[in-house]
Amino acid sequence: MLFKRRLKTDDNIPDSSMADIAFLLLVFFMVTTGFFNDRGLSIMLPGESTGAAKIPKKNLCKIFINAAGSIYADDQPMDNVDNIGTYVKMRMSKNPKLVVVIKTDVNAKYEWMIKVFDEMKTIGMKKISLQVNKAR
Amino acid sequence: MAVMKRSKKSADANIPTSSMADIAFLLLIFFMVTTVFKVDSGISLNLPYAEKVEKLQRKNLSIVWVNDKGQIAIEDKFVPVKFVSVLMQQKMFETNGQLIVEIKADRTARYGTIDAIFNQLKAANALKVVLGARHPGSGR
Repeated sequence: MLFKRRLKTDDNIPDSSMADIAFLLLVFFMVTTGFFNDRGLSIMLPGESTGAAKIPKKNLCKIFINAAGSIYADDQPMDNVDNIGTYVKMRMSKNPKLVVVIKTDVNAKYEWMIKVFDEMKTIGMKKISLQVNKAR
Repeated sequence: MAVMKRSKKSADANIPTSSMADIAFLLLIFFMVTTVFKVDSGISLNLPYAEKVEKLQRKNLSIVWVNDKGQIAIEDKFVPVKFVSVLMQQKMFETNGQLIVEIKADRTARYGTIDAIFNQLKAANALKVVLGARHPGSGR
């Protein structure tokens, strides 16, 4: 009777450890997986063919960011980005042809320009021109 | 008869574990397929925050990294600014002109560096640009 039982257990393939192996690999891949989720603000650079269109001065809204991080909108100092948003929105409602020019100093931080750019996107301004102030 | 009775009894006492391996393998295959081993290159930087960020497609994307010192890296190599346009021109050919360039720049990078890259991209006619940023809500 005892002999018979042993024979029966011997004819199985041991599959109890297969799950362990699978889980081991599973954990490895779960830990090493990095999903691609880059996000960003898209812009379209002007090409050679586009050319620089002449824009009348009344359709322009100049935003200047200097090297110290102060921001001016149409030569008036602005203490925060939200104020610029409301200012541009106000001008935009009066003049739908408005184009925003963001002029950034070469020594200004990238982050400041992104903040202003983001604000423009938030208020729905699509015509944005990026310029740089090289004069020292 | 005696044998049949015993085997029935023992089957009832076990927890059925045979399908566990199947489940594990299913998950395993999912993670193997979705794994991308190299997401980030070695250059470390803090992306700026922005509200209006859009999700990016992996297809036809080329990433230009700029760290806080103004060094530019493309595909794990530091490159001088003036070579950016040549590299991007090559990529333009490879992607049939569908190239999208993502600029991943540190938030404290000088704007002058970014502007220089813009000019290089214009020279390479790579005009679709995305400024990499993080949404304030997301953890990454």
